Amino acid sequence: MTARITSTRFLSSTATAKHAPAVAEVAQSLAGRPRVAWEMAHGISAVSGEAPVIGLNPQGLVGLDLSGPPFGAALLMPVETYSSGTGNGVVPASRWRTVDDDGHGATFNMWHRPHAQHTDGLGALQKVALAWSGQQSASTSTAWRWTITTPVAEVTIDRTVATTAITLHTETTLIPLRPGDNEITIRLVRVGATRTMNVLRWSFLTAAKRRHGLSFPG
Amino acid sequence: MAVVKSTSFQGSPMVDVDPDVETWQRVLRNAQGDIAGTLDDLTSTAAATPIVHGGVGNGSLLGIPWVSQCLDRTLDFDTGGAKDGGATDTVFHPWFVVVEPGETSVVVEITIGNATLAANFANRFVPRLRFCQAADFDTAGGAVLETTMTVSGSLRLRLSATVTGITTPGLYLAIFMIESISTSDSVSELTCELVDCVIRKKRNKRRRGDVVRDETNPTPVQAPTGAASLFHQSMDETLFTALDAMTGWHTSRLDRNINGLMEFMTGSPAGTNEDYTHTEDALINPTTPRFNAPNRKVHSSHPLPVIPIVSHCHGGIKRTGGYLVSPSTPASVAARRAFAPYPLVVTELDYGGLTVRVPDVPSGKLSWAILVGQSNAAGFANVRVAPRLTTTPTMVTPTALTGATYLALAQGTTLDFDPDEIASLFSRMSLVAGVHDPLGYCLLATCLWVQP
Repeated sequence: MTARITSTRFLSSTATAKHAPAVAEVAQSLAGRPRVAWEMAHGISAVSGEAPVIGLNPQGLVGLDLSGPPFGAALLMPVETYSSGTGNGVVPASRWRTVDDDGHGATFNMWHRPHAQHTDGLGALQKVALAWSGQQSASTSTAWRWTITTPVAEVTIDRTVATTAITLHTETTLIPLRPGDNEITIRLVRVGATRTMNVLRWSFLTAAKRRHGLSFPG
Repeated sequence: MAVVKSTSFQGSPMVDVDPDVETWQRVLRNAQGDIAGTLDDLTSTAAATPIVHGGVGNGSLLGIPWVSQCLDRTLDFDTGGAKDGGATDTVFHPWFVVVEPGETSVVVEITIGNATLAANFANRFVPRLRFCQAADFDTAGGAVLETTMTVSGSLRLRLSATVTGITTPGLYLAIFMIESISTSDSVSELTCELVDCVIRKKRNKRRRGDVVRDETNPTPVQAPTGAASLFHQSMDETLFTALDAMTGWHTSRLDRNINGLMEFMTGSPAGTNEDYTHTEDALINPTTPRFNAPNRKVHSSHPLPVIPIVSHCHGGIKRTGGYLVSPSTPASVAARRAFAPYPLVVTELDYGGLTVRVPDVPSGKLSWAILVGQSNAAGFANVRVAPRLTTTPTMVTPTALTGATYLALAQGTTLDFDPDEIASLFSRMSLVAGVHDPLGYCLLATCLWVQP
């Protein structure tokens, strides 16, 4: 197949209207953008013998990988999990270390699937949300503090709970991560009255998207 | 009448769109055909090349990690075998791995800690990885069945292994095996801290900064308006009859079709389309993306890729089937000791809770698997398991693995769920009358994924 035109240039609404000048730019854009679309969808070059004309996606491959705009609407899912058990009375004692004044922490590695890094600072998908639930030792109000340290920032999240069974909380303070390997330290400390955390489950979840006024790389 | 649609890319030669060249009808016809064909591949399982993200011209591989788990447990070995493992025991920790079509390798990385242990790890432990098909302990699907893990680091050790040559997609088990060889060591008790486990694809970290706000594109552009999630108007072959004029009607409609496909596909505005809005702007719990997302149930006719959701190891077991912790003397809260078995009762109860975000897929497209273990030869005939997200599930009987009768697998596609919600996922277990393992049964691993 002979070389095929490619374009990432969009047309203004007047360029294709009636009586608009029949300039080559219109034909080049209309004929060139379908190649870009085809390669984004199929993940390979549209023309045999030619390299793909589109830039690589965040994981270094060609095409949409559903990692967030402009590489497709992002798949939203858990990206890190922890579970100490269930605490329903039958299960042997929970194995989450007692959280007291000194708190309990864990330092671990995780791999964060790369998302597009935006030059204008929009990078919401590179952040995650903490969702957690558990069971504390008393049914009176207790303040708990999460401190999560990543290679990018340290985030503090405060939450007061009043019942023994702590329902699922999805925190709104987002936790920034970097692409690929991250060493994370997560720490849970009792701020208020004497309590222990007998059961704990938490996950990092892909956070929400924001509007991206972006075009994909050509 | 026939709709213009290409089954393979046509495009236009450079010379056809040079300045001063007449605009051939074939240029616009091919563009419309390529757009319609691409859209068809994205939205129809009956298309020429449904985009299922298999990496061979049917869409980029997704690259979603299989496992990312904070373990935070200790594993104690002593010469008497009174704790998790004896002096020469091998302990298993299994994770499910759903190998998607197109993926051929698996990277397993496990971190263990303990400064005193790290200094002399090689003299005390042999870490290995066993990679086998989930239902068959002795079959690897074209990959290495068992391999020694590479040890690196100092205070914390990173154990890693890469499985290559996988030829058959499907459900596998990646089993971290740690063998104590400390009989000649003077240390009477060895504590091994299990820190984390990552099981992922072999991928590069991305380059930064190659997505830019494009200020060069004109504004406004023609694009879908309002709440439209996809704009496309078919064009008939008769609109491109030889010698017929190409008009602003052709160029305008084609331009809008291209813009609509771009927004649908990329989740980004076409150029600086001022009508573009994302409905998932809410901070944490967005509504379903209204553009192309294969996890969206309203697009039930769209090609659906295999999407790993969560895979979690709840506990370990000895290679011979023995438990790590006696249920009669369970680990204390403070000890964080590894993984006791669960003394099941007749009543159905929830075990091993996980916090997950449930995808927005059609009913029946969410698959699950649960691995349980036993300590003796009582078998699994009277054990019932199933995952629970919302309603009480239909319980099923796990089947012993070929080659490892102390491990049993249950899997299915029947699972009630609230799509696009953050929820707790439990592994529900119970017993029915009959012969049981008197020590109870051990919940070892749970997995949830999207299966078309």
